[in-house]
Amino acid sequence: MQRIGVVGFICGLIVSAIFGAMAAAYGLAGFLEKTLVEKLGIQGGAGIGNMLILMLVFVMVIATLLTLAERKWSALMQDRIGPNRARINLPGLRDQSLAGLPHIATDVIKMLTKEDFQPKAANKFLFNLAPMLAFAPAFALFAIVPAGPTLPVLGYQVQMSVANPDFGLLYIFAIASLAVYGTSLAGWASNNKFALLGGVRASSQMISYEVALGLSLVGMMLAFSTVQLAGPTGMSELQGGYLWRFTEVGGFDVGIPAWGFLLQPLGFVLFFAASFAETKRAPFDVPEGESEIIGYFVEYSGMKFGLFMIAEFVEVVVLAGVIVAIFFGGYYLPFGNEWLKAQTVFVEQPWLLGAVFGTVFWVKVVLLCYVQLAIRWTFPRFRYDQIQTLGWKILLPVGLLNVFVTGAVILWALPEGAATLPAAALIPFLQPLAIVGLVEIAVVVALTLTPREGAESAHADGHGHGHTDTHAPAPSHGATPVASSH
Amino acid sequence: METYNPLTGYLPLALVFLVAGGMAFAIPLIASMLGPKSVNPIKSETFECGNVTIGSARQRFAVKFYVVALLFIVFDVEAVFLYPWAVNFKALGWFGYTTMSLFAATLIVALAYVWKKGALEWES
Amino acid sequence: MSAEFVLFWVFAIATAMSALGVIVTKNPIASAMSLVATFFFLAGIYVLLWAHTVAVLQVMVYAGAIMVLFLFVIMLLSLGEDTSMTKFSPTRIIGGVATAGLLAALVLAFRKLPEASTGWAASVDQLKAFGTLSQLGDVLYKQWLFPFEAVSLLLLVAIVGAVVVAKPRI
Repeated sequence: MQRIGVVGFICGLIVSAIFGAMAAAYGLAGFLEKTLVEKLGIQGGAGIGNMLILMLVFVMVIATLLTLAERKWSALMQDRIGPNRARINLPGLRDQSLAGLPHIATDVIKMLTKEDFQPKAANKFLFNLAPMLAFAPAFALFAIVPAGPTLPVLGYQVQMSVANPDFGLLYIFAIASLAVYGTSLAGWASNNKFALLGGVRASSQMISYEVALGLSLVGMMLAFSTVQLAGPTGMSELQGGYLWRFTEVGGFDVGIPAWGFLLQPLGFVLFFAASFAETKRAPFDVPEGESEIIGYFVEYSGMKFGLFMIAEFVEVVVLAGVIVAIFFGGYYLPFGNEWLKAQTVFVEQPWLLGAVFGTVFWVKVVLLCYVQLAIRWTFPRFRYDQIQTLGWKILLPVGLLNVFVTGAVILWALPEGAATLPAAALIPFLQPLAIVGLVEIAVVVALTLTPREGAESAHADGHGHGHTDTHAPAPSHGATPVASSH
Repeated sequence: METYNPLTGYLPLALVFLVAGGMAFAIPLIASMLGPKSVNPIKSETFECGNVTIGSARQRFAVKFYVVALLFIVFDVEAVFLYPWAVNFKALGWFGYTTMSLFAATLIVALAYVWKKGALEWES
Repeated sequence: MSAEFVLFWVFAIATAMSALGVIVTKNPIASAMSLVATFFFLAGIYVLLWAHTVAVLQVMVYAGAIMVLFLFVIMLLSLGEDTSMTKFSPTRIIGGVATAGLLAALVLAFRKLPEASTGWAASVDQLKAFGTLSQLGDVLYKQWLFPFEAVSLLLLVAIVGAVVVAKPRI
């Protein structure tokens, strides 16, 4: 009972910290926008403030905490205690493990003070360049993800994303495609056969899944006719609308929201699988494969290895943020958004409303990070041929099929002359798409609940409704056990 | 008269690139200044599980990776053509849908060809 | 002097320097990485020209996809650390002459260009739509429909060619 109280207290502490930071984010963004416009006459100050708070504080802090969370969660799943040895030498704290939190500090100090080691055979320039090329794109990815709605602060309209270029999601595809160089250069420049093997596996896996990554989101682009995430016609904002609006009790609105995973469940599964492969975490961790080839960073140590590692965790956070913004309603609650917006306290102090929605966004992100950790520690590693088969023979054809089925359903449901209406007014016409989506979810649930007779029959359907990322694809010659676990 | 310059929207983005590059450059630099230096001929050997290294790592590797890379370019270009279509999807209507189906059908033929020829098999 | 002018020179010099890096570095992988940097800075110049979509596609397709193929080919052929090519061969002389000819043609072409068309008047709405994905799609799928469909055949040929060339080894 006491434990539940402690957990509840800590959760409350985390949520209020997020709330405070988001309120500060709106304040800083508004202040910078006002200062820059009035003093220098240029817009874009809000984006600079958002970069400081969203990217340098939120993403980096969550990524740092994830390094500990991963070890703690894996310990919990394997019935261990996990990191608990680092202590703070102060009276009263000497006997407290503090849930392993001091380990974060000790890890950072240890990595920073390790020798900057370069193997003799390595190409010095490229060897040093590779970890930078792995980290920089991962860090820059978050720039277009909105963490809150656009609201007036200090008399200026403040958006809660670093930038909102016209090409939106294409930015993510472009920058993510640059991350390939970090791994392939690390493998090649080390001049080590195992590193080269890991680097080639990594880059080949990443390019194979980039195709599926791009295709899986086209369905959502068709549904909302935009590639932007932020802004008044961005995907996050449009998901605040309702597909079916049931009732209003005292102004409190209830309905089925137009969230992406209801419209595009198949697209969500494809995107999640493909982006998971992009982060190179288990079950897609053949480039590392620590029990066989160690991976493309076998020759790296100290902070250079640390950059590869932190890049991986930053990718986990960014991936969670992108999935929330596209498929899980962004910063909106599933109900009651309009009621919340109409409250007098929020009408008078818009930044408080922004802080509430921002908290909703980051709580969703943290939950999705947890889902990713759980997947990473639950599933055994795929074999390399299984990874390529999943990418090219399942995700790519299913992704193409999904695009054209989605397109046909949307056009069929669209009345004559409706194309000129504003984007928000078109949401109710997506109802048939949501019904198709619900059928897809029902099929997956039915397939999951049906007891398996054998691997052969479970993989007999070629259309991929049953293929979530949790199912290992069967090799074409028949059923073979999935490759060894850790 | 209202003025419009789209470049102001790229100011934060440029700063993001600068910060990302700066952090990626500065962090290992700080680490290399803080860390000790001790060069040792055995330590700087290539690490191959403690065995003596045989030959160079500059090996040729399978041509399959090249085919995968080319396939990736082709489907990446296809995806690039899908995005402008997706943005204008509702305005283009069934006509746009048909033209894009034709385009995709050609590439599905390409995928089927590669599949049939066994370039996607990794087991042999 | 406007900020755009300064930025243009920053990107132009960076592009030229990294392009120079492609041909002066001896390590083929370092050359390829210089080419990636060239494409990246070129995208910056596209942004300055308000060609937003072209800029992002430049990074996505050229820097992110085509250069990966280059990198794979270099690794595939296992070109050594220093593939120095200092000696003169007929191909290098022909290449030099062709480059000089191209340079001369470009200089002639630029001399014939009119002065910068500063008098380009348009409404704010037109400016906001300029170079966007939506406008690109509008032009591509209405005006240039046939070339677009022909691209799919080109891509098909590329795949068939790759498989035929690599066939004995797959």
